[in-house]
Amino acid sequence: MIKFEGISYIYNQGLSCEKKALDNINIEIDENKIIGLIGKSGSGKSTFVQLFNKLLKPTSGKIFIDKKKIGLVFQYAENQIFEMTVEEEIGFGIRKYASEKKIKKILEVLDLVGLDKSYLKKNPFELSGGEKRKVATAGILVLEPEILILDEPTVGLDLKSQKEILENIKNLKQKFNMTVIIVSHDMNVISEFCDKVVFLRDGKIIFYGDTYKVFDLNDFDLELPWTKKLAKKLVKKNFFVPENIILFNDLVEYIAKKIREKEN
Amino acid sequence: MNVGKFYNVKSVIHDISAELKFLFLVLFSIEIFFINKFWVYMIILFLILFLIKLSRVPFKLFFGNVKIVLPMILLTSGLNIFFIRQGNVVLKFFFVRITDYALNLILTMMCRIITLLFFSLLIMFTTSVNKLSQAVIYIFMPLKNFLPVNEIAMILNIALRFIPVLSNEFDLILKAQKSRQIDFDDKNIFSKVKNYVSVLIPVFILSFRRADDLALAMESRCYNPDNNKKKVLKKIKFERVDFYALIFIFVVHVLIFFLIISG
Repeated sequence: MIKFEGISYIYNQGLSCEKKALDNINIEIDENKIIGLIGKSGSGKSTFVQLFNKLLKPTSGKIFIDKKKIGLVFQYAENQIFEMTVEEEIGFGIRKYASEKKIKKILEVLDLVGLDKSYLKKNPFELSGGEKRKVATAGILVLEPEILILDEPTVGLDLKSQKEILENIKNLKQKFNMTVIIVSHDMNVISEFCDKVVFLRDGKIIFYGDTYKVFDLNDFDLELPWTKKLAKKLVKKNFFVPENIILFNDLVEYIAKKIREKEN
Repeated sequence: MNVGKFYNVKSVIHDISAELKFLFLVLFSIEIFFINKFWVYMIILFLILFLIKLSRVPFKLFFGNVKIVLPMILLTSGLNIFFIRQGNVVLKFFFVRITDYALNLILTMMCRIITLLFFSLLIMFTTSVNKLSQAVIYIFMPLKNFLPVNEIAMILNIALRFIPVLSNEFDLILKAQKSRQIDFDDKNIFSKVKNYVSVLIPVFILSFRRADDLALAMESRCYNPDNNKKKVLKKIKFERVDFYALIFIFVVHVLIFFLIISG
């Protein structure tokens, strides 16, 4: 169970610079799914995810989470690297494990994030941005979280690294059937990888439901994924496209099917 | 940690010109080293608390900062108390002898640091970084032939400006490491220190990177400290509040002077 009841969070409470980041949040999040958390900057996304593993305590309200292991990968996770080898960096969270068990786990997560064992003895500071982020994510995965939260996992990365990281997350979810929460501004990422979406605005939940439905909200004020943009343009040109088509492959399939139907 | 953060409210202390406040801070920092009586510090501390009340900056911001420095003050005081042998012994157990002179000295030292900290925080909370660096330029301008005044002001400006940024970064990395099961509340002091290394290394790397980026950004915008010398500084307007502040500063200094002499 992942349930938030009447959650509010105020920064600098009682000071002149007081700011209400979350305002009476009531939500029960579906488990074992990939959930997207979207909203403009300052809408309360980062505050919301920090409440999951008690890094922040709510000003008011109650949180019910029956999972013990919650892994949070922060924005620009590569900035938290401090050890001199990839092995030490990933293994820091499990440093009390016996060395054999430890190395087995490290190799396991290294493989999960798409890096091979040749990286073990490398200096993490000498890796590329994408590789560093994979190492930092592996440092969290090694703790075997039941809920994995990723705050902007693709920000600042090239397209290839973005794709790799997101594919790894998808594989992880399928392998361990964990709940994954992705915070992102990139609607293409959200539309492609998330089963459900939480839409935040000014610290309030505007919408929680299936991903495709969020893009049809009247007051949706974020950039649409380009597949949805194309679908909307086609609808304007009197070419009907069902609202649940938000993936590139689905759209291609649908258009091809319609063309075939017309030809026949 | 709120060091260096300007607390934006309307108050008499905020209205006083930055030049006057900075000058008072410099004079006060010098004078305080001539005071060695505990009760004099109590009077000064009371005065500062009165000024804090006038500034409308919450007391908890000041006490929060003192709480951070307190372990360091206690550690240095604790070391001194065992090594100063002058004066009459007031407490003796095993080989440790604590003298009245050591006690007085430590108490004075603690008061000195706390008073100075409170006063500097008051100036920082009530003066924006830009105004403070402008004040430095004004005050040190007569020394421009001997000192790189603009560079000093720029260094001060950047240093003060980036304290809150680094503090936020420290906080963020601390949270990131906490989510990796690193225990910062470990009772074992050695493990605690070791765990903090996991925060300090990334913060150092980030601050060096930031310094590098800032230097490049300044250069790409053609920053040249010599150009600043050609700038015409705007005239300081002496408001009524500054006049009252000047009278207050004068009275306080006369008071401190007599207290030092009478002591």
